[in-house]
Amino acid sequence: MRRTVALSSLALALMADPGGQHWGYDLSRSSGLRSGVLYPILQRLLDAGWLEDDWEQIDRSIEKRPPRRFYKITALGARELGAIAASARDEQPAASRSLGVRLA
Amino acid sequence: MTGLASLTNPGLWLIAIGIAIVVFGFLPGVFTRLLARAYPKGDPRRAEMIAELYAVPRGERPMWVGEQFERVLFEAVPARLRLSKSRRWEAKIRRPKTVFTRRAVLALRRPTRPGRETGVRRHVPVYPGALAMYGGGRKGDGYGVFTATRVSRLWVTGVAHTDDGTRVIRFRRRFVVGMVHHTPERTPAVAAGGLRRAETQISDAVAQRSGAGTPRPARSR
Repeated sequence: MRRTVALSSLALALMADPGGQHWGYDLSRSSGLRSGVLYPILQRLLDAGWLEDDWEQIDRSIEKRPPRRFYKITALGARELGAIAASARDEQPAASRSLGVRLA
Repeated sequence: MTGLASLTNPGLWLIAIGIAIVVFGFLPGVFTRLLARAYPKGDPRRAEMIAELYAVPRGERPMWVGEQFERVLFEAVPARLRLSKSRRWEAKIRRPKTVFTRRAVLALRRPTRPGRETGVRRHVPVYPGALAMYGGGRKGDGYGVFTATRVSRLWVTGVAHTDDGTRVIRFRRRFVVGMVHHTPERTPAVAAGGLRRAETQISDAVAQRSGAGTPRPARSR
């Protein structure tokens, strides 16, 4: 899968809680991605088998809202997204250093 | 003074509250539901979009709904177009009596004459419905034989079986090539976005019908 800045941001957001359930809106907040960018990437990750999705189990009469869809990282996704997140973390300090040198 | 007077005007406050209710309470839900309908029926993203609205704080909802326009434009509209195209082709293939000018049989893989090969040129875009043609085939004299329906954007050399023998014809783009003797139950369901899978299915079917090995792409003439 082509590695983009958006994918790196999403990988960092997902790998903050690798075993947890991730919700679309929360992911957009934590990754800083707009819906128009986030959801197509999520769809690609689902197609690639890096994520799996499911629907929350709620009583609609009590919650007064429809059930939300959540995403979970698969074993393959943990490996791949972990690698992307790790390299994104490595690149961030390097980018800061190079910016500091240029400014100095 | 007139500004202060207008602030104390209860009518203006009522209008402002009404606008706030409409903008933050009513319109986001309406627009989200309308936008969600752009996704094909059964698509989980449809229900997801509506459910996500309730997770968004009320103050952010108008902007969030605006973002959904972008999402729909790049996700739902292409999905809808693919589905529509696929349905059109399916309807055409499954039509019980389709009258075409003649029956044509495509000989995929086997040379029709020494030095002449036939097949689908891989780099030519092919509609999913055109790919679904392989299901209703019959076997002829040593040919991997397929019955074709309207072939669009397909460039092949074919063999037409006529009463007086076999002759080579050449099919061009958007050329109606034959009578459909279709068997819908054998027609592969080519879902939206399943072009690659359909190509694989055709390759497998061709290889199975005409012996081992993968089919060679056709040589353009």
